[in-house]
Amino acid sequence: MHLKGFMLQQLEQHGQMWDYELAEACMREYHLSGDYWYGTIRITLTDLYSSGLLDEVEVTVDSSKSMGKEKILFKFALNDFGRERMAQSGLAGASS
Amino acid sequence: MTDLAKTQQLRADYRNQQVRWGFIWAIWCAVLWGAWYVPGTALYYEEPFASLQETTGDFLLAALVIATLNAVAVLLAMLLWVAVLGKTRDYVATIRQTRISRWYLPAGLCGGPIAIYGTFLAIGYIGPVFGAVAGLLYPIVGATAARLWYNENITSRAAVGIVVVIAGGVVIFVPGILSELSGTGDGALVGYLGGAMAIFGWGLEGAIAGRALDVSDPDVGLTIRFTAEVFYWVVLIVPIVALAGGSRVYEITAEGLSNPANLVWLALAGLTFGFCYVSWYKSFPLIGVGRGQAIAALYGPFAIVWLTVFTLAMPDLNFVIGGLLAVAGSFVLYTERRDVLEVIRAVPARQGASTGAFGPPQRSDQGE
Repeated sequence: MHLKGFMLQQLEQHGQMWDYELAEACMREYHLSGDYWYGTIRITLTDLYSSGLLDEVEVTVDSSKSMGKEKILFKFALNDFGRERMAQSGLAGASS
Repeated sequence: MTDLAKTQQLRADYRNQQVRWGFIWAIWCAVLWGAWYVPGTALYYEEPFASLQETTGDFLLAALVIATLNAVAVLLAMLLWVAVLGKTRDYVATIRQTRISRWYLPAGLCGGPIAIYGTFLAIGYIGPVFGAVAGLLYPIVGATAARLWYNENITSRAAVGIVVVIAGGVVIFVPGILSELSGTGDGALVGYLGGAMAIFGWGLEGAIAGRALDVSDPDVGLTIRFTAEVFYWVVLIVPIVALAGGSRVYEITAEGLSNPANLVWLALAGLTFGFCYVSWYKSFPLIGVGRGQAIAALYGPFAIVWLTVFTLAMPDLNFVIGGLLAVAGSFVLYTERRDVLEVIRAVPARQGASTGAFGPPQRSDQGE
């Protein structure tokens, strides 16, 4: 599964997830590490949110969860449009 | 500052940055797209292409070979780019998701054999400046398709911005078309047809790509789109042309590749066009297809600047006025309210969904 598809499937499976939880899940799945991939996953989440597939349900600031830096952290949930796009793309219900 | 106020401020900063990056990517696209017209035009002055200007058949053949080599050069640049980003595995995995990757087939067709070939016709038959500005009208096709197809938010202000950008394009077009229609032009109707191909091809490609990018990465998606374009040229179009007209197309390709100057121009074309396209695709999820395309349409004025710098030939006055109008239109777009841009689609599900205390405010202009 490609990264963006995996992220959508994780959100579908868990309902709501913090961005750092999703980043950890992706890095574990794809054996990735470091700031670069953490940032790449956050950017991908930003794309998904601005495209309307995700709802932002909560925000917080917790530097212990963002590699020691004071960053805004987002909790996202897949919305109906996201589920619809997953179904159209063959991603829905295919998570392992 | 209280914790709540600080969190709100950080959130607002993050979302502002999100929108700003959307515009930055689109402007990068415009700068590099404009720069691409320099190598894209220079190829016509090198052998064997310089000798293929006498008949229409020769000229179409030269444009076909240049468009094919250009697509291959861009694909090589993109494969390198994806490898450097560590996304090669994602490229293969996305191709395997055929219900996603198949969307890049029509995107590659619209953007490649239709739009890029049309641009090469416009460059060759009329000239590089016309070729550069011919496609300026494409955002209206892209914005309309994205609006009708998947409800992309096009507010009144965005529509005004797009119209002003397009007005700039019309100012650039009109004198040439009028002289053509009154019979005083140089009989370059094929060039104008090429311009129309660019408008519809790029407009539709943007709308299709905007859809595919919902569920795939922009760097990877763009590379798949160019894989599709190379497939069209190398596996379908060139062999069909060879079957119909003999092996001359292969001879011209071999001659073209044996000229070292062409290799330099192709490398430059691959880099400028590849990275302009990456920037274009990266802007779509952040600010939408309509706005991304309208800002990227600044490639017209940028091309005029680049071509003036490299050729030292001053552009006609109507090109300059049209270019300035296009810039003014882009400012109208950039100064749009940020909360409108936070989520670029009027998604029905959002209206009933809780977005939490920090979600974007409900918009009165949704569905305009």
